[in-house]
Amino acid sequence: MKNIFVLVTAFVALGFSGCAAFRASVSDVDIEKGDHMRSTYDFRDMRKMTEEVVDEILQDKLLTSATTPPVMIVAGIENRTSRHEDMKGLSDSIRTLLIKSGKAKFVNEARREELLKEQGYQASNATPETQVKIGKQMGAAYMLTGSLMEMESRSAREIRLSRKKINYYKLTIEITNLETGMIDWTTEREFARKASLPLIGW
Amino acid sequence: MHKLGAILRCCFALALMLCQSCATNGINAARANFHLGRFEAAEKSLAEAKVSDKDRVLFFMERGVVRQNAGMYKESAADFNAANLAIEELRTYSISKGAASWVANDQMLSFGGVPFERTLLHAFAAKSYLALGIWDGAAVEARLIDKSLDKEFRDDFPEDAYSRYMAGFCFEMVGDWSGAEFQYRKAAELAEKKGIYIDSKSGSVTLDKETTQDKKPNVQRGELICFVGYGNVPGGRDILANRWPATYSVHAEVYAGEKYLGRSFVLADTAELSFETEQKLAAMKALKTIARIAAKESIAGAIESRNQVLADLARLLLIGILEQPDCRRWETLPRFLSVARIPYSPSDGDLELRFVSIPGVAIKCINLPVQEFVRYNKRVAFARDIVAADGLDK
Repeated sequence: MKNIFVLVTAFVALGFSGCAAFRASVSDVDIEKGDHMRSTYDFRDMRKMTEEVVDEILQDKLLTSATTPPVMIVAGIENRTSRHEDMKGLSDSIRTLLIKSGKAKFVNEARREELLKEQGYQASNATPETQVKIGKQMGAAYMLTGSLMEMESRSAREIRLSRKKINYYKLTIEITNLETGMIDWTTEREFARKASLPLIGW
Repeated sequence: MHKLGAILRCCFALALMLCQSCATNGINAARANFHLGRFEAAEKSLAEAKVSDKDRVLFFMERGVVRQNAGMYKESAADFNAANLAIEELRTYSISKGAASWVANDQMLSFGGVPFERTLLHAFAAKSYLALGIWDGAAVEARLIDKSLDKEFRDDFPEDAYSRYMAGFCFEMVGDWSGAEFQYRKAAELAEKKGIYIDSKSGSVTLDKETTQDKKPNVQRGELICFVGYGNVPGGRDILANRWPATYSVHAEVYAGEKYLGRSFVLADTAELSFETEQKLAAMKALKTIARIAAKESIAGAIESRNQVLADLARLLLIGILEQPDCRRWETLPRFLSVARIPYSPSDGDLELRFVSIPGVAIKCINLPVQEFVRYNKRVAFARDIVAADGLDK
C-alpha cells in the first residue's frame, strides 16, 4: 500500500512538474550570440568567417587601389568536409557583403541561362525602346573560389560515460586574375571546437 | 496482490509482443514489390507503411534504394542522408530500449545496420550524387566511406573493395588524385584476394596483374565507369540459417551494338559480408541471449510460486514467443556489386549490358543508360538487375 502511494504521488508530481517539458515551444534566437549546439560547422561559423574574410578583402590593395570596382565571378567554394554543408550559402554571403560595400561587382553566373532566355524573348517580343541590348554583359576580371576543409579527432577507446571529439575547420578563399591566371589574393580562416557527447541516454 | 502483480507482468509481456510484431510489415511489402521490379508499388508501400522509430534507419535505407532504382536520385540521396543522421543519433545508447531488449528480444533495439551496411549506405548515396552531377556531394560520401572503414568504427568486421573503389572514383571526380589513389590501393588489396587487380593510379580493373597499365590518371581518355548490381542479398533469417545460393561466376559485359567494350568485375558479395558479420556477432549475441533467457526464466519462476498457470503463460510469452532473433537487414541490396571501367565516347551510341556465365552464354540483356553529367571526360552508368534471371539467385 505504501509503495502504491509513493508511485501515485510520483506520477502526480511528474504530471504537474512535467507540463512544461511536454509542451512544444518556439522562440527567436539572436543570431549574433548564443551557444553552438555541436562541434560541427554551423550558421554562426558561416557568419563569422564570412565577415572576417570580407573585412580582409576590403582592406586589401586589390580593391583599395582600384579606380573602379573590379568585376568578379564566384566559381564556387569546394566542400571538403564530411558533411553536406551549403557552400553556396557561404559564397552568397561573401558576395552580398562585397556588393553592399560598393567596392566590388559581380556577374550573375548562376542565372546566365535565364538571362539569355529573357534576352532572346525580348529580342522577339519586346518593343525596341524597352529591349535590352544584346552583347553588353560585363566580363569578369577576377574569379572568387575557395574550399572548406575539415579534420576530426576523437578520444581513444576507453571506459567512459561520454565521448569527446574535436572538429577543426579551415576556410580558404582566393581571388584569381582571369587574364593572368595568377592568384592575386588569398586568405585562410580556421577554428576548432570540442564537444563531449553522452554515450548513454534515455 | 501477488496475483495482480503476476497478471500485470504477463500483460506487460503480451504488450511487448504486440508492439514488436507488426513493425516492418510495410517494409516487407515494399521489398516484395521491389524484387518483382515494381518500383512505384514499392514506393507506395513504403509511403503507406507505419514504421516505428526503431526501424527508421531501415526504412530510409530501403526507400533510398527503391527511389534510386526508380531514377529519383535527389530523393534517394535525401533518404540516405536521413538514414545517416539517424545512425549518428544511435551512437548514444538508449537505456529504455536496452532495458526492453533484455525483457523481450533484440528487435526492441533501434536498427542501426551492421558495419558493412553502414558503409554501403554511403556508397549508394555517392551513386545518387554522381547521377546528379553533384561531385562535391559524392566526395563527402567518399570521406564518410573512408571514415566508416576506419578500424575505430569497423572493429574487425569485414570491409569491401566496392565501397573503397566507389570512394576512389568520387575523389577522382573532384580532382583529388592522391585521395583517389589511396582508396584504389585499399580496394586493390581487398580485390587481389579474389584474383581481381586494380591499378591504384588509373583505377582500371582487370584479371591480369601484368596489364595494370597507366602510371597516372588519364583525364584525356573518355571513360565510362559502370556500377552494376545483380542478384539479391539473402534475408536475415537465411543468413542466420547459413542458407543462400552458392557463389557462381556471372559477370556483365558492355556492348555498343555488337561491339564489345568491356566487362564488369565483382568487388563485393553482400552474402559473404553478411555471413562473416554474423559470425563475428554470434558470440556476443549468444551470451546476451543466454543471460536474457535466464532472466525470463527467473521471472516465470517467481510467478510459479504463486500461480502455476500464469507461470506457464509467462514462459510461453517471454521465451516461446518473445525470444526471437533480430533478423532485420537491409534487404534491397544487390548480392553482387561489380564495376566495369571501359573506354567510351558518346558516338558509341546506346549501350547494352549482357549478363554472361562462365561458358560465355548470355543469360540476360538489359539497356545500360549513361548518366548525362560528364567530368574529366568520365561518365557513369548504373545498372541493377532486379528480377532474377535463370541461373541468378538460385
